[in-house]
Amino acid sequence: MFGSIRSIALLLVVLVLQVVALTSPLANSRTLVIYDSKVSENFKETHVQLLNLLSSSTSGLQVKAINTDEETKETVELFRNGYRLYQNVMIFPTRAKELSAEISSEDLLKFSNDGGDFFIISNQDGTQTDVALFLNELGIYPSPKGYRLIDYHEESKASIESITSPQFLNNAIVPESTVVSKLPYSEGASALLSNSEYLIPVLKASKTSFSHNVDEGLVHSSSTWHVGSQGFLIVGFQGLNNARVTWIGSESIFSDDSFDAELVASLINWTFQITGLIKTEFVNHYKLVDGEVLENDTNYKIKDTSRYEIGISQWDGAKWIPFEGVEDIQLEFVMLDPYYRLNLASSGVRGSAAVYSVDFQIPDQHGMFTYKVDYKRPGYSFIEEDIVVPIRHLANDEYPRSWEIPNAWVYLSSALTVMIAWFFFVVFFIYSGKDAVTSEKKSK
Amino acid sequence: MSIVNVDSEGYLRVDSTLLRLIKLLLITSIFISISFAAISSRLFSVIRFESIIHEFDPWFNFRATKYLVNNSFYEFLNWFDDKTWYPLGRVTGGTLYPGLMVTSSIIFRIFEFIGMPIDIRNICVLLAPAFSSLTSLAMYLLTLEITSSSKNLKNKKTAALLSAIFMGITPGYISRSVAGSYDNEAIAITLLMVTFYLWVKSIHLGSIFYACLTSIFYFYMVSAWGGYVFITNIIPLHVFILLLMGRFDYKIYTSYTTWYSLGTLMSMQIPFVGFLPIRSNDHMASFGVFGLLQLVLFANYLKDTLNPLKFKKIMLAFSLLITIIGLSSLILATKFGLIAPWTGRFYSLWDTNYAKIHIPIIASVSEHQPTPWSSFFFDLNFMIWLFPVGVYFCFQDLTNESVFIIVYSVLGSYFAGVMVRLMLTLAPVVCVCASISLGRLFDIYLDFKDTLKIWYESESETATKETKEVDDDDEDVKDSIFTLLSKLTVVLTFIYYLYFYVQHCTWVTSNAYSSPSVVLASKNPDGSQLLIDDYREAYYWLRMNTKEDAKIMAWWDYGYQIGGMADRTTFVDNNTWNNTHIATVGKAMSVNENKSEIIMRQLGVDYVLVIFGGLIGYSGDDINKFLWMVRISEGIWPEDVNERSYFTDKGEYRIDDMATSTMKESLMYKMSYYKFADAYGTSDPIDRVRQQRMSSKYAHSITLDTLEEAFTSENWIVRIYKLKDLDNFGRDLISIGENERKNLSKRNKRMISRKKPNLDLRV
Repeated sequence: MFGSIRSIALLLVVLVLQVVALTSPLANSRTLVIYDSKVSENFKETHVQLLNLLSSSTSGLQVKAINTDEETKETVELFRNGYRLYQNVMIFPTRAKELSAEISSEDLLKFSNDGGDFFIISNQDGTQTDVALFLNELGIYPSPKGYRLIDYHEESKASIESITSPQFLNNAIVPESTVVSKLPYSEGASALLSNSEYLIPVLKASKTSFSHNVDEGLVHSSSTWHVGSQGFLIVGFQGLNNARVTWIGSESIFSDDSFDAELVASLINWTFQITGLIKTEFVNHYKLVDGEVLENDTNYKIKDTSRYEIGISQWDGAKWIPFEGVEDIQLEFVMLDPYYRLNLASSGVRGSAAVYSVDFQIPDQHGMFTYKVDYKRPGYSFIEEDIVVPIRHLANDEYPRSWEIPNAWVYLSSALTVMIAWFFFVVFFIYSGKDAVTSEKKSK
Repeated sequence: MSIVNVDSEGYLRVDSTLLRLIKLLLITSIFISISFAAISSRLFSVIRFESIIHEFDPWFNFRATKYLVNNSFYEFLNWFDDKTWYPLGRVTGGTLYPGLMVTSSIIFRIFEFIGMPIDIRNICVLLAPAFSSLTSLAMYLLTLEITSSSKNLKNKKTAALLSAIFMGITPGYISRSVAGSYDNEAIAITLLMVTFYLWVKSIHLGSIFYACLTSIFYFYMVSAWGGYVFITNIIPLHVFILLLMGRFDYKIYTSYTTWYSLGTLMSMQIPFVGFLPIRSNDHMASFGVFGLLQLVLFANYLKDTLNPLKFKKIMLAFSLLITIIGLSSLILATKFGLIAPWTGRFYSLWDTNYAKIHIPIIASVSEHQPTPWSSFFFDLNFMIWLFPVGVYFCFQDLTNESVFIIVYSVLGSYFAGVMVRLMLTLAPVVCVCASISLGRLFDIYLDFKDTLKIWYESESETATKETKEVDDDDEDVKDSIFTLLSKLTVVLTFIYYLYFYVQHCTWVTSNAYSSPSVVLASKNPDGSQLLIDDYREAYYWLRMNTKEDAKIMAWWDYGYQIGGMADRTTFVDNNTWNNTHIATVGKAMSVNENKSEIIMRQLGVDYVLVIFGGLIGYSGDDINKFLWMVRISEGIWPEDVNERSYFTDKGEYRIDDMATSTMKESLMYKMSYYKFADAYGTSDPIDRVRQQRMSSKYAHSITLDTLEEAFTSENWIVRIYKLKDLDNFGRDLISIGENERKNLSKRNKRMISRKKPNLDLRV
């Protein structure tokens, strides 16, 4: 009885989740979850909520076990015939030497280069070598096997079990509204990060924490991996092609026992390109004459007035909506160096895009100029729009005529005077005087 | 009355009209032959290769002409070229001499109008030969005009015709006007000659009409070639020397003032020239002489009115005052920037080392090098030793016209000695002088009238009277035989020289000046001809395989060709107007990959093109030009680029294993020798241009990380590289390559992934 009610309730929950679940705008969002059968034998039973979440927000969910016995072995591959099989891959910690015979660290790089997303989970037993090498290329260095995450100020135990009221660093990935009083983080690993611009730290280790390898002896710079806030527990990464990778050092929050639906959903939604997605709908530039837009004339010359506008929309989980209320989009007008760097102001909504625009006067310099919008904010898709336009010099008949310049009047009048004077001189020379002009030489 | 009569004495009398007709027929046929010779000897390149535009600059002229034909003249005049000098662009309409393009587009329109649509390329290819025949005609007229008042030269037309044929086929002129050599000089030399002819004519007649014509052709010349400055200076110099000789008269005054005022006003209509005629030092001589003429005129007037003593005093005071005022105002105006200071190209005319020290970009052009002695004979053949004789004869006459030739020959020989390409301006005066001296020579030695007369008389005398005076007559006849013999010897010698001249000109033209340099001719081992067409292969590849707005970085020599043949955007080209931009490209080529990548990304480079001759032995490649890139960029960034570091300690320019590390790391070196070893398998690769052998192991270790090879032509002459995109993960391209080359084992990699990284503090 109870069981049936429970199952109905669960079904209802699943249904509700499916209704409100956000989905990715990508046509193909097939997802693969890889887990180690030796680490968690009943993965599908202990991670029901996670799998439900995944199957509701992505399509074609496949869960594959590695490190299995020979008879139950599945082929785990990312590419087949050169084509990428999945959009999203979630890798749980494994003790296996390799994910599969088909997957090397190069394949992981290739997958990400091709636009695929990774959600990688490590724990204190370290990270599988290929995965670690892949993470290292991104600039994430998870602590290897043997290191324990310790914070004596928080817990007296040898390693951290949970983090009280964690401060999430990126609003686009984990919204501010997400309040977690106690984040389960048992058997966790920490990571060191390089200064790569594409890394987005989500959760830092506390100032008083460090990870220590007991085998290496006393706490010492060579026996610790991270010290204090140089360590990171959750890290996002977005490459230039907008492919995303998230790394988290503990699998606690995913298991049904301590499932944190809100946090997991926001992490997964960001990683699998459901949130934090913005795109350019259109980019236009016009020539303005007396404030009027000339539609079909982009033949700019120096000192013309130009209007630049860019339409940006945002994915809300179901459709593209205007990306509004942003004030830090900038336009650069570049020839070798930026001549202008202007803030784009919001100017309404057109279709599903919020329009940001600016009017400015083109500098007094001809050349090939680039309208450049380089909008890269951690947590959002990168927007980079370059349009090269030639700015020509003034044509021979576009300069002011001489009589329009007061300075030229002096020269004009003198030229005119000479001409008139010459005319009169000739007249007088010919018709004045009675005698024919004879030179002295001749008279002598 | 019939045309041929037998007169009362039994002589055959021919009507003078018939004689004149025969003369006309002869002259016409001679001119047709000269034109034929001039044009046909310029067609070697078309026959050997094809109807193709040659070399470098012609490709720009051709592209500009196409633009003019496809657009209106107004658009051409205001053409802002967004495909060159990226991202600066070039105000092309305002920085070119439009005469050439306008001429060929007019010819194109005329042919189109009369219903003969000819491809614009063929018009461009054949323009220079066509104009060369006009040049011969102009030479004929010029020589005739110069010798018109000479008392010493009898057969003026002989001399004039000789000068026409000399000019028609002299290699000094052909070098710049073979079919396909679609350059400014192609029409400029014709215009130069016509202008000089009209000038001499106008000074001879004192005619305003001819002076006006002179200035019109001067204007045409200004529109066609930067060498118009030559006219701007030679005419005032001519007038000035005439003044010094006390030859002032109203003819000179009329023609000079008319020419100067009209010519200057007209020349200012060319956008590229603009206000130069009143601002640049190069034009100040003509202005000065213009002022001087007014003063001389005034002095002449005073001389007529005042008594000699007063006149002398006034003259002294005036001339002193004017010299001081003139000099000081010139200095002041230059100092305050009212007059542009002399340009670098001008300085290098006086001091041949100037460019080498101060402006490497000018020195790097081979045609700006001083002329070697041999090329005088090579380009002018036997005329070079008739030239001084002709000048001597001009001194004998010393008419106003021959003074012009003297002035021209002095200036011409000096300039030809300074720069190879100014041989072109020397050639015409050499032809005139050689023809004058030959004319004088033939006056005497080709004149057999006296001999014939003596023979005839002696014969008739012996026939009629048999007196004792036979001895005397015999002596006359004997003398006449010796005279005849000596005359014949001289004449035959010179006829041989003339024959040899034709031979030489044809040989030089066909062997030295008829290569388009876009297509290279070589010989197969069996002696058959092999055409090396790598340039066009590569440019065509660019045209078909790259995006239309792709930007190609190459050394400036190839800018025009890339624009013309591949139709892609270039950074620098043969119009070397911006030294800094060229130096930037030079720096990108000279420094290591790391620094180069930054420069290339900033410029917006998509592809890089290099010329490499090491495999086939083509010596005009980029490694040989490399030092110029280094020098030019060192001029701007002496702290980043240093010429010395490209030479080994012993001062050798090496590219093999012994090359300096700077050399080995430079982008140009890497692009040239990347995968060079693959062409040789396991044996040691040899650079056939530098004659240096690399070890196979070293050659295989040459790597390139920021660029990937996109195309290499058949003989490896052109190699094109693509700048790789930025790494998706923000990694440095060079370190990716280095890591890959480490080729670590899985175990090592695992070790590395477990070692604590040496990172900067994350901020």
